[in-house]
Amino acid sequence: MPDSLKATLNATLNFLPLMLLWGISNQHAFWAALAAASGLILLNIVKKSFNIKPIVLFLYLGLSVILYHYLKIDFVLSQKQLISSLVLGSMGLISILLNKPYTMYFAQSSYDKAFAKSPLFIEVNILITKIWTAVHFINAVMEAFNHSTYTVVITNLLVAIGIASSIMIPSMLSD
Amino acid sequence: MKIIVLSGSPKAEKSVTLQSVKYIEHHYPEHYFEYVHIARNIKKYEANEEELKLLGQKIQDSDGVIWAFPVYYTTVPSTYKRFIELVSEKCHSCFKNKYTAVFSTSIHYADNIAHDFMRATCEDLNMKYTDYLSHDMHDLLQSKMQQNLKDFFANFITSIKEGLKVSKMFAPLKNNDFTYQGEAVAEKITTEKQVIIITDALDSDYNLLEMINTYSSCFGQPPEVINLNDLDIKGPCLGCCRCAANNICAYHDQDGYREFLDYVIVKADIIIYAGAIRGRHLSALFKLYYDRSFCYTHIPFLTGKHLGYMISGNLSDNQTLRQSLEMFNRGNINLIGFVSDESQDSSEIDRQIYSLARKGVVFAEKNYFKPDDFIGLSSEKLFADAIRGSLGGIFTADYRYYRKNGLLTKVSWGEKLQGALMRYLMGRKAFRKAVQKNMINHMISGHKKVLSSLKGEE
Ligand SMILES: Cc1cc2nc3c(=O)[nH]c(=O)nc-3n(C[C@H](O)[C@H](O)[C@H](O)COP(=O)(O)O)c2cc1C
Repeated sequence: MPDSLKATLNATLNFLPLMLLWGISNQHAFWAALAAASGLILLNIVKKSFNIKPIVLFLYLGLSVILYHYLKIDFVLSQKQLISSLVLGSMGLISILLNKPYTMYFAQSSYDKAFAKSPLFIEVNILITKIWTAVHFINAVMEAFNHSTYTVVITNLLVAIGIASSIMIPSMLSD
Repeated sequence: MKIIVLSGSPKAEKSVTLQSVKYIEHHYPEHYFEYVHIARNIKKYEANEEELKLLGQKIQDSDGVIWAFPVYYTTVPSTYKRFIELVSEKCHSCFKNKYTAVFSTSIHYADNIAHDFMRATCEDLNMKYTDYLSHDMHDLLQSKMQQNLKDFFANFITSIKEGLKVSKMFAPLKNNDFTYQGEAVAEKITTEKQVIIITDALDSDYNLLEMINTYSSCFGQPPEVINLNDLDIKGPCLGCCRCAANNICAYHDQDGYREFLDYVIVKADIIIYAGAIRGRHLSALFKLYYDRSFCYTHIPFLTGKHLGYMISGNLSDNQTLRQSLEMFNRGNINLIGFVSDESQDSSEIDRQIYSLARKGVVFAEKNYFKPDDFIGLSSEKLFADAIRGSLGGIFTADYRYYRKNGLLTKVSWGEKLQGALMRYLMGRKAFRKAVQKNMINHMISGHKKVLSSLKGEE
């Protein structure tokens, strides 16, 4: 399979928990997303690779399940869009500050080992992570101020831009 | 001072080029300008040597000569070329030691070649060449370029007054007295491909005719030979640009040119141009052939054809001619090569002609087209920009053709994005360092993949 196709599949697969979380409108959203995140973690264990994003999502979703189902805090469900965006944005920001952009973990498996460790690869992923971080924070701000059909459209558009850049940037630089 | 302006445009008083010279004249009332419209008078000069001598006398009596012409097909209009042939033959000494400057307007396509051609011509006429100026046809509209014109003329006057000199740039023309005796080729080439030879050979062009015979003898089925002298061509390109909208020339069906050209376009896979060097180019008749093909404006009407040249004369002394002819190879117009008789060795020339014939057929049969080099690429870009811009507003036929054939595309969005992305990343120290460290490997990483895929194929 070509590297770029692998990267596309990886980027989409890693987005599955969020798709479920944002796509399902009732309380099952947390369980479905949690299951997807667990699946991704398992997959990584099998592949013997490390990926921070499903772990962070797992922790966030696990906590949300406890807060919603056991402590009956509705806020976590009604504001899931805002909270998840803040969690992911913060994860991006921290990972950039630590010079370990989180997107590099799931991208690594798609590329040659030596290249995946090179500064070139890290720099490209810093850029992609920056884009994702911006996407998540913008979404969070929009959610905080106003939740309407418009924000849903814009949110989805921004996420689409994020996915497109995760796929296009590495393929543009592949040679 | 008395300045003679040899104006080359067929549009005479309405010439774009002439307006710039008039601008100079207006700003230097202390100098006297006399204009000679070559295209208008060429028949007179051809018919009557006395007229040419009269002009020669005027030139002798002047302080300087300005050659002012529009660039036509990489050099000068055919009538100007004819004028140069006539004075070189009949009035060579009239120009001797005259100070001269060369001015042209064009869209800057191959204007450098036109100016090399003119400089070499001035040197051949033993003139005191001073400088040249090549303006875009709209430059007179800009104040910066108006100043440029004034400075150009002021420098010319200074050169005359102070006797300033420049070095010669071109080796003098050598005569070639050799007589080529071709031998019919025994190994015949058979092909389905259509070969047409276009020539201007006169009975006196012995070597050229012999070269055509040898070339024809290479084929089982001899190629068609079309002699430009046999065609009904009413006159030179008028520069009227009536062809701009629909590629219909002012002469369209009034003479035989268009029918001939369209016949060649439809029929030929391989075109061999066979001409003798006259001065610094092929003959004025050949130039007429090129100029009249402007009925196809800026459309590469020979797309898909393979072009070869058989030249009688010392081609290697005449790089300007070679460059001028090579300008026609762009896009899918392929150059097979040049053969000349300058080796002065008949069997060598036989072999070269056979090779030209063989190569042409191989190229045509294999559909082998060399990609554009600098000349082709820069030509395409220059034309595409012009046609995308104001030129395409008038030359609408060009616009339609260029758009339909994808010749107007600029850098794609993907490439632009890629460039922007790389510039951003190269601004980051770690990325830049890593790239610089591995630059050589990066440059061949794609190539290596191609080579390793070959190993996989084995
Ligand atoms: C037949 C023909 C051939 C031309 N060839 C060229 C050329 O090779 N390069 C170029 O830059 N412009 C070329 N042009 C454009 C003219 O040089 C340009 O329009 C010039 O300014 C016309 O000047 P004039 O009005 O004095 O004749 C050509 C125009 C015509 C009509």
